[in-house]
Amino acid sequence: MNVLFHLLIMSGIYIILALSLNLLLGYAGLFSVGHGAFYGIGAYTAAILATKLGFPFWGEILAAACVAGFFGFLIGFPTLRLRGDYLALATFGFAVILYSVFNNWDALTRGPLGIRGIPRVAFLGLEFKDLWSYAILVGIFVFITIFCIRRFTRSAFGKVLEAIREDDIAALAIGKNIARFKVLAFIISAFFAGVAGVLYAHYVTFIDPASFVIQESFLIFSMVIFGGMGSIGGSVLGAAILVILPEALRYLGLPSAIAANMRQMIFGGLIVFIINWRPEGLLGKSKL
Amino acid sequence: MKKYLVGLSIMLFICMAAGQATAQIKIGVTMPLTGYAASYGEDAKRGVELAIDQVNKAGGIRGKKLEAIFEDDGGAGKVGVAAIQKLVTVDKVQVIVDGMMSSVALPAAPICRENKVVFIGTLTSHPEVTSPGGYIYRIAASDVINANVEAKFAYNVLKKRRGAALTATTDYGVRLKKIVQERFEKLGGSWVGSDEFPQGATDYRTQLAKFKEKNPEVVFVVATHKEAAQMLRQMVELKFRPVVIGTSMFDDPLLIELAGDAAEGVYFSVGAGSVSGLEKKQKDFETAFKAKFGKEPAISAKHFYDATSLAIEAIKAGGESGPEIDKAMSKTKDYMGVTGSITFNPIGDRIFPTTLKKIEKGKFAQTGYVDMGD
Amino acid sequence: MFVQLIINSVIAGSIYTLLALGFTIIYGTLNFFNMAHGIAYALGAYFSYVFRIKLGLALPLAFSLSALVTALTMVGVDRIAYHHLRTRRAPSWALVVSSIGVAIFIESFLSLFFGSDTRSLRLGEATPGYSFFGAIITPVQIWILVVSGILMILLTIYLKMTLMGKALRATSNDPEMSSIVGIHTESIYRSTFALGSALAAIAGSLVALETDVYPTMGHAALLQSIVASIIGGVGNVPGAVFGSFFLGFAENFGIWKMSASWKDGIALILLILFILIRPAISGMEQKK
Repeated sequence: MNVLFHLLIMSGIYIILALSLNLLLGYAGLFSVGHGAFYGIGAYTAAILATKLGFPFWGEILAAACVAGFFGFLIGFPTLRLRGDYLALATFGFAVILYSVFNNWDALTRGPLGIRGIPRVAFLGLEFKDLWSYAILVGIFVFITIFCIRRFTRSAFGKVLEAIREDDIAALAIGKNIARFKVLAFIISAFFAGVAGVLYAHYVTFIDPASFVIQESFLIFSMVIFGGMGSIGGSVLGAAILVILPEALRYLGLPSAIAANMRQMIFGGLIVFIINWRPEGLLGKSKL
Repeated sequence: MKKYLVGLSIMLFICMAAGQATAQIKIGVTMPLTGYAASYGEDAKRGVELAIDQVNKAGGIRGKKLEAIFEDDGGAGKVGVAAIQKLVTVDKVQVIVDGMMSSVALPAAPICRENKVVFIGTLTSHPEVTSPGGYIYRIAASDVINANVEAKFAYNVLKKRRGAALTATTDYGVRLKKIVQERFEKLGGSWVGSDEFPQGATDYRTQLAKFKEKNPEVVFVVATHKEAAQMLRQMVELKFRPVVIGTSMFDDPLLIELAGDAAEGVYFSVGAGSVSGLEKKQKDFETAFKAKFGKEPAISAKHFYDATSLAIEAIKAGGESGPEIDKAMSKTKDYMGVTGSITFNPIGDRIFPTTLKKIEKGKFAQTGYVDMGD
Repeated sequence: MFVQLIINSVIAGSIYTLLALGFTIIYGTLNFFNMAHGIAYALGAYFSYVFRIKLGLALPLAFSLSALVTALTMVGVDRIAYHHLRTRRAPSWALVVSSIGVAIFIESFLSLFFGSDTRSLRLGEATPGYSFFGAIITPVQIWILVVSGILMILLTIYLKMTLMGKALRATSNDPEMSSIVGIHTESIYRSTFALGSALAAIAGSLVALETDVYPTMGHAALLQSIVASIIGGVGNVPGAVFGSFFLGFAENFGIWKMSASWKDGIALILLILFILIRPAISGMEQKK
């Protein structure tokens, strides 16, 4: 039924987001906390292209992902010298600034009015109107993402990223141009986040800045940590759980007076509990 | 880990099955119960509960009791869509009262229409929520109407000639600001400037100081009662006292409570009806509300109460299925709600006479000015 | 106009200082970005509400009690949510995720218990403020200045001259060495947490006198704590003061020239600029 498909779709979108962030966080050790920004850029680009310029779906998703990837470059480049917590804050700042832009640059994004009427996806003569068909579409993208990320991490590229994570200086000593790898990681990560944004925009058919507040970035970040950094399966699991759990809690049949807040409390409490129970994440490599 | 997942799924399944059991008439209601708009959501919930309570005490509808299923929509599209999906497909309600926030209403309304479930929007004023095709209704006034009425009132009745606007950066604020300025200038007034503030802001001093230098006689405000209370107090502190005209968000006793004397002389636009019948209906509503909850109702309660009552009337007149309710709703004409008289036009928008209320001696008072909108 | 701007900036700066001081000493010793700092701020306001309005205590007493109770609560939180992670030497991001969970939990609890309506701490009407060189300043604002000034001085004395204070600084510089030397690091952590949270609580109470109490009030406070701390250098106490006033001035003068809805954006642009310009200095060693 529809609720199930809705959950599958949202999980799929967040899985892609978590996987892309994992590339940065888990593999390259780059502490990026503003992932929601790339998500938002992808979504808004797609929305604008679809509604104002009538782009076909494939062109749009490619363009939006590339724009997101470009922003990945914009972030990755100046922050090359930054380490750990400072990188976190710079990326955090970027995400909040971007929200401000979404909300205030009326001419481009219609500000708080948002962009509506994003059409349902159609290509190759098929129209993905029904929920189940959209779920399948999202599923396809999830598999593509998993495939790509796996290839990246198992390749030489991935090994270099891991080397960077463990020890910058050593990697330098081997003669690798770290800068290029870091920036590339950012670009790829942002690219996929942009894809997720496009899928979201076409699903909800209306986007506004409120969907891309900094809390989104915190959520995606939590998903990666939860699932286990550096673990692909972990990101999938972490994303799925953090999407499904709050919705599942609706069905507990709590008295309506306290239900909503109770759900949030349970959600918060579970986060604390699970992270304390397994700090390395559910499927994370136990290096503690 | 796997065991827990299985256990959780079984539990979910049982809960869902249990929810389908009873033979009552159910309506779905969503509102923000978490997040920034949560206090409005709580108020709205009380409005619905009162309506349901009253109808059940009077014997229900054809002997059946009415029940509302409340879902949190978080005031955001993402959560709202999940809420709507649950109500439509799992609970299988035939009418949903929703739409406090546009970001929920905009994706939610089409979903309802596709599933032949009636959607009654409450406070959302985004023009694109309603469209031809049936099943979608909205009882809030469109901002366009309010803005025009406010401008006319300021110019023609209060005789103010220099205007300014201070609005929240929300879709409502952005639209209203533009329309008010256009109308005010068209009438012959001069516009001193506009400024915006992010939602939830608490410090308006710099903006107010900026305005004070330019000396407007009337300031049009789009802000929640909470934000407005801060603004008004700071105006007093800064010794800057132009006439303030707000929107129906000011229609909340909490504003008077938080702002105290600072709220004296403030106007705001709300829906009107034939003034006499409306006053009594509102009084009865307020009395019943206070008796049940010990609080006074604010704007969300009133809108949600009306929406629920409309749904009840439609079910009584038409039947219990979506298409039947839709047909009955479309025939609504001059229904006297606590927010005024309600008549729907062919695309589900409400045809709306607007009035302005004033805060005088710590209470809401009528100004007697009614405008049919144009 | 100009004088008014200065007054507004100084007031804002004072509040940010209280927040940033707390945030920065917590980062300095416990080494993570405490996402629940905004919650301590909100708790302070709520406890003050309970003590003053519900129990009718006098203002200074209510505020002091509230700071105390908040501090104790947050120490309890530390025991439940962070302590275990510390002993397992979990990386700082696990603590960050945990603090996100804590923030969600407590905020929903406040909403559940008190309702989402706004509460007021005030007992009187708004009155016109005092004139001061063509600008206006209110009694509450004067209080804010006085209280934060006193607290700043007290904190500096504490850190520089008392035994506990020195132990705190030692632990933040080098936890292992301090432990070897005999400093009971665990109790230092607890007292830092208590101190930082107490400062946030007082900030919350003071601000609430003007702008009332509601569950989500901690969000903006958190953002400001982070930005002000970064500008001054995280972990750097005098830096926090500088950063806070810098932020206060930048925001207010920025609003004067541009529309206020860019306010958050200003803060964040500053953040990024500072991070990029001064990567290696800022009082704290680079921690990954």
